[in-house]
Amino acid sequence: MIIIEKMLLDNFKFAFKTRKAWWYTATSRSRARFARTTLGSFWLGFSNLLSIGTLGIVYGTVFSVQDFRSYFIYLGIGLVIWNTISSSISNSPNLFSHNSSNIKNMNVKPIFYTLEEWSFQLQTFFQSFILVFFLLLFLQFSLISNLLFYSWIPFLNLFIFMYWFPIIVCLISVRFTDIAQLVPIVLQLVFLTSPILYKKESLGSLEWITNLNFIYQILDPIRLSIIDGSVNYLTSIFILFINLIALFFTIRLLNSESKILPFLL
Amino acid sequence: MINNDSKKLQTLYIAYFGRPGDPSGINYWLSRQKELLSIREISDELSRQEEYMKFFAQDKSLEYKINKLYLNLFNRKVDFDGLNYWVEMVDNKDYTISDIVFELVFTKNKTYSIPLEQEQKDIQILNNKIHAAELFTKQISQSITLINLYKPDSISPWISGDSFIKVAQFFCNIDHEKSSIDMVKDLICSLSDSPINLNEPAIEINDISLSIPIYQSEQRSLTKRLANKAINITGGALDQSNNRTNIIALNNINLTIMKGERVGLIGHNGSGKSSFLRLISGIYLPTNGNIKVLVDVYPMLQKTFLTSSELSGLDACKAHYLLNNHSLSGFESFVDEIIEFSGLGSYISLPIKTYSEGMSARLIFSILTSSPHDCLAIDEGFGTGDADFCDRAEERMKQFMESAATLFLASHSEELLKQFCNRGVVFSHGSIAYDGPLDAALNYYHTHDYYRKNVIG
Repeated sequence: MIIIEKMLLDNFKFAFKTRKAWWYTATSRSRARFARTTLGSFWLGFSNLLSIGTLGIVYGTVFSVQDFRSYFIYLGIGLVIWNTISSSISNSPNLFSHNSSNIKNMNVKPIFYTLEEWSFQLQTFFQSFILVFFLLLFLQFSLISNLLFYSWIPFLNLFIFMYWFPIIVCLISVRFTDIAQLVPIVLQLVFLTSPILYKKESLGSLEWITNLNFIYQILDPIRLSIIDGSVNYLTSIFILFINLIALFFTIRLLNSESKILPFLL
Repeated sequence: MINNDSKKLQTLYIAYFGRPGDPSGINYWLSRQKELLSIREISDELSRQEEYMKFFAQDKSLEYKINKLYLNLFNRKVDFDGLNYWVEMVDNKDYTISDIVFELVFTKNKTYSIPLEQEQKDIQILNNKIHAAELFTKQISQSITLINLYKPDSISPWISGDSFIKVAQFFCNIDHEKSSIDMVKDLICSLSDSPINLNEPAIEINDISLSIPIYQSEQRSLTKRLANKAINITGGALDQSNNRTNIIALNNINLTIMKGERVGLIGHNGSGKSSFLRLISGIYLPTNGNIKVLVDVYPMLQKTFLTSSELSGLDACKAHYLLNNHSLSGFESFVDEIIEFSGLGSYISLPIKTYSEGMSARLIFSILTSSPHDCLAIDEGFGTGDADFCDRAEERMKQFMESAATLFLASHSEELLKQFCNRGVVFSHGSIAYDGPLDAALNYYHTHDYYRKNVIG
């Protein structure tokens, strides 16, 4: 137990000490991505808006939606959160292989690269979410108060999940090289079976599958808290508890896999 | 009177030279003892050594030589009866100095009588000297830097030098009071002009081994693994463990490196030098054994940037600076110096992927050598870039390596090793084949034996 506590403390200390470095490298990546565009990171928001607009019109028509205003809000928030989760997971299999030279030749703990990727995904999320949310306010102004009052715990769950789950995928992908090819397929299946484009009720008798979909369990409480201002605190705290346990085991796993990581890359 | 082998050897060193044995001397005689050389024969050989002959025996009277032995051992001149006895033994029984020493310290029953009180005093003083000698040699053995401090100025012709004289003077003054470890440490410190850390190991390695697993492609495919299991439902269980190959990169490594030591790592390609550097840098973790790294080891193994090549040179500088300094205070002067030294000018703002190989090498070299570090682990492969840059880089590298308190340098270049290192560790197939002063390590490396075993095969 003492060894585990020491391991956690060491990782936490290292993460805190180097926080400016990993945040900076993530920021630089975000900046570099849109270095050649005049609009810069606003492109992220625009691309999301474009997706929301296109998918909203098409699927709103397909599903014979009566209230397009509510549907756009529902779809907009869901899609931005899904894109963030999806991007975190789909980038994760190559996280260590992209940094393989550094892992083999520099004595920087692997947690550094995971934190850098996490902060990069966070920055990407905020850049796209802020613009989408700003435009959605024109459709329903109460979203702002709901966000400020009810969304804290669901967002906390999202941010913790965005850290640990991609690391698990990453560590498995480092061991098994064919996982990277399966990840996009699985993500596509999860997207199509998650009530993002459509309402949960549309699943009818298959509604139970959403209970097994843990990505949806992270996404849905955020959407509900922002749109309806309703939070199931019991469920949210339970998810937070599970998230923290998963985070603990992920850091432990990362620590033990660090021993073999340079040889797998 | 004396039982333990190393203590017996220390007694002989004290008797003949008035000083404790140096670690290599003690080890040499201990190994000779294993070859069945008796302590009497060792005493005989020591009495013929140039150090004794030149400074204590040559052109000296028998009385002088006996008095010197007594002074070295008991801090007093020989008593009247004793002198008469030894002279008689030399005249009538062809006793040599070696016989006198042997009888004086290793014979239980005294052949001539001295007052009991005097005998007890003698025993106490001699025991105190042996105790101090053991402490001294043990302390010196911990580091090659210290071993190098305690050596003669010249072996042929023999010139003892200041350190032997200082230590002998210290031993002259040992009497009824037992020397403490602190007194011995003070003595060792006084041998060096610059301050040395006696109690501060930088790295302690105990029984370390490192296995590098080599995974077959089948083991790294989840689908193939599952498919194999599914296909194999009807057959017996297959043992897949043999598919895994391990390379024993390091084996049974025991080493203590004190702060301030400069260690050259020598060995054939694949002998374990780079793995050792990665191990002490914390990049590799040992498979077995313990390693205590008590300094911040800064590895310089390959030229890699912390940031992606999509980012600019300036971003790379900033990320590196933040990682090491945790804030941006002082960054401007840091980056100005890098721009000036690397000669990149305004190119520093362009993405690294647009740089030529030489420009990248200049930049990473400038970044990594821009600030001093306590302990460096440098691989020879860490070059300096293009030819124009080479001269300036060499000079800077020299200053950089000199500024480090503790240095590990893996290299095939004798010139480079001799310039920066004082201790040599020779690796052979993942084990330490030799550890000692650099010159001796290089000699070992160049012996036909090493070549026959490791290079020619």
